[in-house]
Amino acid sequence: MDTKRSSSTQAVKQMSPKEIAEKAMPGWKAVTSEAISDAQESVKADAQLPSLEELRKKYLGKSASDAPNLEESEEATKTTEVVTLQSGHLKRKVGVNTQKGVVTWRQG
Amino acid sequence: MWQLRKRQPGARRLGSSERTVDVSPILDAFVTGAVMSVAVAGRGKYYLLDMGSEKYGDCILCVFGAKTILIDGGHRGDYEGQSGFDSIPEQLSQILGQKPPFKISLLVVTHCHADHIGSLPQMVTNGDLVPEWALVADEKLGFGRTKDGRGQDNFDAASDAVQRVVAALREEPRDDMSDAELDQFLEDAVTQEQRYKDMLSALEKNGSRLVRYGRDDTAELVKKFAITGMTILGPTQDHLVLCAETIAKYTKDAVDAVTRAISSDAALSERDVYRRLSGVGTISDLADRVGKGAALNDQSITLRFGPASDYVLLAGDMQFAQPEVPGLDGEMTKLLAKVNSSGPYKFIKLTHHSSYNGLDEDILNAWSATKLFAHTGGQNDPDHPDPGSLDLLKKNRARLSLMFARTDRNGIITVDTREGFIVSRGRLNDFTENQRGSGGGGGDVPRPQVRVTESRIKGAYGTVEIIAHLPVQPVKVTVTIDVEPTGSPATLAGPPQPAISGGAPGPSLCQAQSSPVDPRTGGVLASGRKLPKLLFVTSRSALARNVGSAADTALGMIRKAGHVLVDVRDPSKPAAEVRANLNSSISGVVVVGGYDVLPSQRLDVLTSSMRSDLGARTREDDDNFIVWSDGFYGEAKGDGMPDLPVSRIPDGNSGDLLLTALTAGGANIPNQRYGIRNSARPFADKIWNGIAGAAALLVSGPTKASGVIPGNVRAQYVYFMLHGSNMDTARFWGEVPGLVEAFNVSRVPDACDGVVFAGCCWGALTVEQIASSYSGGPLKQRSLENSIALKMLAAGVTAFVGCTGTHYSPDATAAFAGGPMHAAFWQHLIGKKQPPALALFNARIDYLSGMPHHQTDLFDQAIERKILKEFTCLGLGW
Repeated sequence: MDTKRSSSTQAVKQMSPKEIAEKAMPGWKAVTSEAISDAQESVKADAQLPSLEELRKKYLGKSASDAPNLEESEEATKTTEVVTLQSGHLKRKVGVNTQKGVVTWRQG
Repeated sequence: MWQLRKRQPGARRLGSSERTVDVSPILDAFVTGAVMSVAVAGRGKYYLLDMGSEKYGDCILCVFGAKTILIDGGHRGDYEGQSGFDSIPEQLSQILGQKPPFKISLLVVTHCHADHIGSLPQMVTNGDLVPEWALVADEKLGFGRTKDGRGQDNFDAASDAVQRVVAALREEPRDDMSDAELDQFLEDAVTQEQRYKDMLSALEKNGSRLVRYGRDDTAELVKKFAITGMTILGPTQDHLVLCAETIAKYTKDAVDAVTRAISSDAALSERDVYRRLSGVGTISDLADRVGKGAALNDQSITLRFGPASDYVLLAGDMQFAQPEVPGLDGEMTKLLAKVNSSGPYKFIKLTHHSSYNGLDEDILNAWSATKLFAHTGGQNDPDHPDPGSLDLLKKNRARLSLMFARTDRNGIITVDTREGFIVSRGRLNDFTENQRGSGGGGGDVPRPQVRVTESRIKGAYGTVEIIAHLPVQPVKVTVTIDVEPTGSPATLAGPPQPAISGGAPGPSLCQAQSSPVDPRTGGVLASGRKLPKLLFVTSRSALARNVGSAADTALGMIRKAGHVLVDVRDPSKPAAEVRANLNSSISGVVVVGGYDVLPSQRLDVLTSSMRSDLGARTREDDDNFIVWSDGFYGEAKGDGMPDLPVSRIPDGNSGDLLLTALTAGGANIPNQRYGIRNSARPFADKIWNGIAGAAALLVSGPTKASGVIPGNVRAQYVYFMLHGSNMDTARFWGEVPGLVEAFNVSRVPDACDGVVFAGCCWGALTVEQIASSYSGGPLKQRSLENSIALKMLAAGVTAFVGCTGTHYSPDATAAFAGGPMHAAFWQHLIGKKQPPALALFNARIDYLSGMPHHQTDLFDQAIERKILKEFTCLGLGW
């Protein structure tokens, strides 16, 4: 039994993010992500959301050191691979945690 | 005793030679009631309509996807509607989400009593009801006539007065009525047979396939409705004929008795004769003197619906426990055995208005597998539900784990065999008896009295003053006031042009004047609900371009209610002017009009450093992490961090939408909650647990838009967790796997209220362009027909809270991305009873306190920032 579990885990780890995503989302097929258009890429926004620290200070009266988790810090790591899937006319992104081999979030 | 002599076609006669009525011609044309079942059937939804205050009454709508079946039509007066209650056409409109004519698949008339035929003749002959098929009680059998229409010779030859009384005596006893009510009842009774025949003729003329039960073959009909699992369990041919014979005999005896009574005392009115003879045992030797109308009740077409796992029994007024028709016991025993062997049933409508003759202990024990029972009938009926039946159900409630609903206390009852009951008022498992004259409100609560003491027009806005006299006891009273303007044109002129100014001082708490809704004035802001002081901002000229004169009507309404109204001089740069009008007395900002009236902001939810660090990864978000946001209207300091809740009423180029949204709230909402989630979004179950109500969260698939009943969507809290698309905001999708359309604009009820929260991509996108692709120029608003959000605002919801960009769902833990935001919103809205705009504002702060919810990847943290800002509150929001 232990041997089987070990080999099974190993198999999961060997799956690509696309395979993981397709397995987790039956009925969806991994496709190549379409690049955002140049117009969309270059557009200027009217405003920018302040930093987490500023937001916390205003609404929670807390400083950055009170933050429960990390953001914009050195400890932020790249563990999520975004995969684009398609079903019918809809395309959706999912986030695959490459360390755990699981889908963590789904668009929609 | 009257008994059948012989069971041979062509030789059957009724009773003794002195009282023989030949019905043999009927038999020649009879076919045996087909008992067929189907292998595959769908699980339907069943709606037991509100029968108002009048005694008795049955009307049930069954919905199996596209197949709709209406069983019986309540009382005759239900066509117009009883005072204080919705008519049957109105109830059907609510449930089906459409106005008449109702094109239904099948009409069933179980038997020929007035409280079942009821409104149907008018609905059919007026063209309000257009059934493809009709399975009806045979008019000859139902009125005790032979095939050639004879068999009631002494009735037909009797005077009008005698006919009126006799016809009324064939009905359920109504000696409790007032003189005026009884006069109408007598008239209705004597014309009923002809009205019923006219209805059948109209059905045939209009192209309905008519199947007279007991006369015509039902095989094709049953086959046609195989998907509903419809099975006709009975009654048999012999059963029907025996009842017809009894009706014929009863009628003949009643004619004799009534004639004698009238002859004996010329001073007796028809009412007097009816009341005298309707008492038990007053007409000697009457065949069904114990239970009035028993012979008609026992002709009820007995139907089973649904698949084997979800059978439903609907048997009209069948007197299973006590047939009260001489000689019928054997047939009834056989029918009951067939009913029982055809179960078990998930739901049973108690027959004959939960009378003692419909239910007893043995029958309840035979139905012990059934958990859902319901009673149909009106409020003003101390005998129904029968006190003994109530006691029986109450005693066995725990043992059988049964649930009991009743239309007299619960209004419209929605039955889902898996999810249970949804009721429009009252509490389930109410086993209290109705009191005579109580109006059925329960216990000894006196019937509320409402008296109009004054009616006058004052100024441009007419007001009608009402004084309501109510009992001291807790009681819920709905007062419906229809005001028909009768004044001169000058009196009814529109409101004065609003003199818009900035920052006019006003009380910190505003209440609109309580004036009736006048279509010319557009009604009262928030339907007269108390609101905190709000700042309304708009561009009057731009709004008028979109909605015409409704703009001034809307602004007049706002000003009249005492709120601050700002007509922004430069709509392209509204921030500074709006900010100048914000002060500590203002609780929130409401933007009036679409993005082309006053702009929304393209908000980059990332900081510069995050955008730089993410680099090309930002392109993985379809919005490039830029979303439409109205938050800046609530910024007191212009620091990018709103100090007040902001809501927006997008006009959708519709004056009706604008005025409806401004007057939203305060309606009596039948359902507490309604929701659909994508089958691949189980996290929504956790969110649903925090939303008050009993209804289950629908899952798509299997739920499809075609199966959504708009009337159910009319709920206090509506939750959607489905796929959305910026290319088509008229639809939301679930997964089966693969996509399935779960909801669309056609499923939005005509009239709605409550609050909607949608965790759907671009669900609240009311313009064609997404924020990241907009680079200036005209913004095109979506229309009502291509936006669920706008359609729901036009239907009357107080708020539609949704996303202006793509939404991100967490795993089943609901612990990050959209999960905590959904939960926080409902917690503030329901748990803390905050208005939706304020609930969203505070939900954001709650969400912020947990950010980034243990997410370590920068992209995942960017998602959290997007969730924080992309939800927007559409509608009045207060």
